Amino acid sequence: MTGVGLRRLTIVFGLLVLLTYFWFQSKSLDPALLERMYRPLNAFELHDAELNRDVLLARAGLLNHYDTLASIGAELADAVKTLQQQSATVPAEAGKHLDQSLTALTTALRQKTAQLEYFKSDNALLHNSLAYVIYISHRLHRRAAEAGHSALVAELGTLTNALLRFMETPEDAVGDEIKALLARLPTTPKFRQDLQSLAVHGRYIVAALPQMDALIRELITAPTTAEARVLQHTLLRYHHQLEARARLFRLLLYIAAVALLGYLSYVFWRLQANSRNLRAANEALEQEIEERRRTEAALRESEERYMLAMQGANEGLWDWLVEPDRVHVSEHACRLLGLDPASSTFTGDAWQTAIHPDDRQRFRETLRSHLRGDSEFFQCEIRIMKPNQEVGWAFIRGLGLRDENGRIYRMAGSIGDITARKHLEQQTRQQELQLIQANKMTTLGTLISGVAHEVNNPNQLVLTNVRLLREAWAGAVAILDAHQQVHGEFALAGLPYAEMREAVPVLMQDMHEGALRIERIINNLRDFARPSPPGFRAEFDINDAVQHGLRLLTYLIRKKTSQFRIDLAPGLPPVRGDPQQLEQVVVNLVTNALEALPEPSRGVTVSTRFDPAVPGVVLTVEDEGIGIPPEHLARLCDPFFTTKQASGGTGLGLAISSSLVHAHGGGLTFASSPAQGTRAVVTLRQAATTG
Amino acid sequence: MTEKALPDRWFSARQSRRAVALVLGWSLIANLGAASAPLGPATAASQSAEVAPETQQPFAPLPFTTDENPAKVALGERLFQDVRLSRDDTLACLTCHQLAEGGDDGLSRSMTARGIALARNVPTVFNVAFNASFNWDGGVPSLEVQAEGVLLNAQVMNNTWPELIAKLGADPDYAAAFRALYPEGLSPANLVDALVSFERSLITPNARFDRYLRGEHRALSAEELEGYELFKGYGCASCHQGINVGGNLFQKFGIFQDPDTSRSPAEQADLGRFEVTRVARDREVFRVPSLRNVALTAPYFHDGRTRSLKEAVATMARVQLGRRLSPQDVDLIVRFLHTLTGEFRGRPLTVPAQESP
Repeated sequence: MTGVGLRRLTIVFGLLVLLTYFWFQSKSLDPALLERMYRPLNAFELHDAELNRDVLLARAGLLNHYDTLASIGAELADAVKTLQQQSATVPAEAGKHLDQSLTALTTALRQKTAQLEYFKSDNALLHNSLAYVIYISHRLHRRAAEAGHSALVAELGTLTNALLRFMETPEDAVGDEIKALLARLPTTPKFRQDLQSLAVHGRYIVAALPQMDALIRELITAPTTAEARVLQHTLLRYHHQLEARARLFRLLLYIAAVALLGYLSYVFWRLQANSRNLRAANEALEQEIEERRRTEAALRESEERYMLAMQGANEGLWDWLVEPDRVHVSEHACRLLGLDPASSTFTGDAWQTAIHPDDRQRFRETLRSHLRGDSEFFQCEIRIMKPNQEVGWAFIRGLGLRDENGRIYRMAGSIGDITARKHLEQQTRQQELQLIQANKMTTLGTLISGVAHEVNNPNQLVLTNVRLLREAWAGAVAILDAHQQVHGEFALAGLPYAEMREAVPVLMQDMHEGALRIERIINNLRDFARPSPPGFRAEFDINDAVQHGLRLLTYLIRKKTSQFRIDLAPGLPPVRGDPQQLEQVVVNLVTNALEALPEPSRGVTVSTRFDPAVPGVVLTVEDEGIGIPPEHLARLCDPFFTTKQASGGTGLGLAISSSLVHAHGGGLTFASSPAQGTRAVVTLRQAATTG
Repeated sequence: MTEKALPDRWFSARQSRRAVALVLGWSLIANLGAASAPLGPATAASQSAEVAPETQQPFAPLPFTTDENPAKVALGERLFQDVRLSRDDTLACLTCHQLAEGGDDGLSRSMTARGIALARNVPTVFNVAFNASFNWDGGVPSLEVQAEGVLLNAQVMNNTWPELIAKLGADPDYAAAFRALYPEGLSPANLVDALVSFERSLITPNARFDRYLRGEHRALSAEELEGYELFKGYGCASCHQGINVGGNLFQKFGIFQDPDTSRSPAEQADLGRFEVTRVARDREVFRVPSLRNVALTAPYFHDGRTRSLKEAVATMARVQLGRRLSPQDVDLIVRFLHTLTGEFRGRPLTVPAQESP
């Protein structure tokens, strides 16, 4: 800003200096100087003309006396002297030419003055002689006439005539004639003196008159006038040169003035534009301030509204800067997480201490998954260890801001208290259990009643009969032993009696056991049908539960597939929960798998394995069935969702299974590809004894 | 001369001269045609003097006063009389220019205190303001140059400016007087100026001839008038004309005769103006002197060869006009010349006692 101002100031100052310089240069030649030169020069020319005129007047005898000539000469000399004095004040370059002209003029004047002196002298004498010859010739004429000297009278007449002609035109011929006349004048003693005088003056006139005329011509044509003109021209030229230069500088002056004016106008215009811009900027700024104030008010209002909404929604806020690993946690969120509300900033690890130890791993997994970009949003339900050892539930949601490399550098989101919801969910689960009960009543209840009725009676018959047959065999053995003793070896039912004697009791025992087993199965069915008390917790082996479940389905399995595989991993850690409920899950899943098989050649595999990632066990039921359309996959666990309405499906099987699994803190997921098969995976955490 | 005054003066001068030329022209023609006047053309002119007596004459009366600064004139007068202007305190200007007499020293050739005779006769200081040139040979163009020349001339005042200024500057009266008149006080130029101011004030107006010229016809007697006519008729007035009756041109001394017939051949002639100009025709040319107060300025001519005015008149007529005048005519002319004696400071100048015409 100051740089610009300094530059403008310099330009203006420079233009002013230039202006001043031009102004000084544009001054015309000092008029007084020219005047001082012209005045004596004009006077000189005037007096020179006057002198010429007076010379002619003097020649004609019309000038009274020579004082006028003398005074004119003095004035001419004065004029030249003044010119010389003034020329000393003329600047050098012009002064040189002036001096030359002036010197020439001075010389011319000196010569003319000298000639003027001669003229005065000669003119005085000539006039005397002219007057005298007229006078003397007239007197001689008179005297000669009186004396009767006619020859002299005639001669004098001729002489007078010649003299008058000579005076009129001083030609050489006339002069010679006069001289001849004078020479032959008679030398009469009586007139000798007058004749001599006449001759002397006559000869003087003949000699002096032409000289006189020549002198006058020289005087009149003296170079004074010409030199004065030259001087005048020199002065004029010099004046014109200076004037032209002054005019040029006047033009420059004008241009500089216009430039200055233009520049000042420009600066003024800029100033105005600047002030206008400034005003506009000021207005814009005020407007912006006003807008910002409004925006801030709106923002504050919005924030307040948001905070209010958040508080109303029982939501807290968190904001995680990845790089310095700082998490800003709102006051509400702090309270929610059981953190000290006084400090609002924590490291990433610190605030995770609020998370229930069982959920930390899952929380980190979910977070990592979002950081990797696997999930669009980060959301996770966690349990919170409140300071009073209560366990609360929180739902954390968030979204990461990614840099150009796709790396998340900041994440923010909300945290909501969902403890109440979780309680509600538990209530819902109670209702689900009732539903399950109802389901049991509808499915197992009828089955069990059927089995109890249809199976138990024949089975009792078998049991009774086996006992009878055993006793019968005991009696028969003695007879048959005897027979062998008697008859030796013999065949019984295609086998040698010796073998049969040992085998039959075993067969009998097997039959008895089988019947007993049937009886047990029926009891199991009754157990299954009978609802387990809620919240029952026991540690058990998942494989037992699987086997129990499958045992219930033996008939169905055999009917539906020839490729039923069981792959149970040994030494699995126990899980905690209700074994009967899990049996029901197995029954449901396997039933579904079996029913999905289009033909018996297709297989079903039931497997268990240990998954250290959970950590816990994984139960997989995999069929080679028709598969599930993708649009149904997500709704599989919805209650009363069924595709088997026609074949008596209640739509409760998988819903119950899912709720049961979840009740055990596990997960039930399905994966299916149409015509390839479906895989149901149950994940169960191992019992918490290991932490 | 101011620019404004010039045209007016030029106009008026032209007008008046045209009138004069007309009248003179007619008179000359009439004179030549009739040729009846016994003494020459000027007679006719004087007879028709009723028309415009003043302007027709080749003469003009002296003014009664000059416009010199009285203070400067007074200072100049003191200087004029002061012998300290000469180196040896022997000569003052007044020594050679006796104001009680003819403004000269009455000697043929002045002698300095050291016995050196000056080259020529001392001209009168009266009426020098009206002379066009100075000294016998016109060698000095102005009174200022003349004054300085005399002061520094080794044969006259024999001074130098530093000495002179120092000497006069020691006089408190001079120092004060100069300071009062000149900004720079006593200086060579101012000293000369004061002297010349005084010289220019030395006029001798109101001669009887001047009174005649002013129209007082009875100022001249019949004889003097006759002498005047002769003066003009013989041609004396051809050279001795103007306000100073001479003093405004040069003339060769001896037109029709050698004036120095008595001179021995060994004696070197005075070459006059030739000494100044070195031009051949200026040999023996001298300034035509003023004839005002001529009755008081004997001896006459550049060498003061005669104390007799009659002889001087006769010599002039013989050598300059080629005429021999009768004693009566000479006498009449001399009578006329006596009417040229004017008044100095209100008193008529008187003929010195030794004068014997």
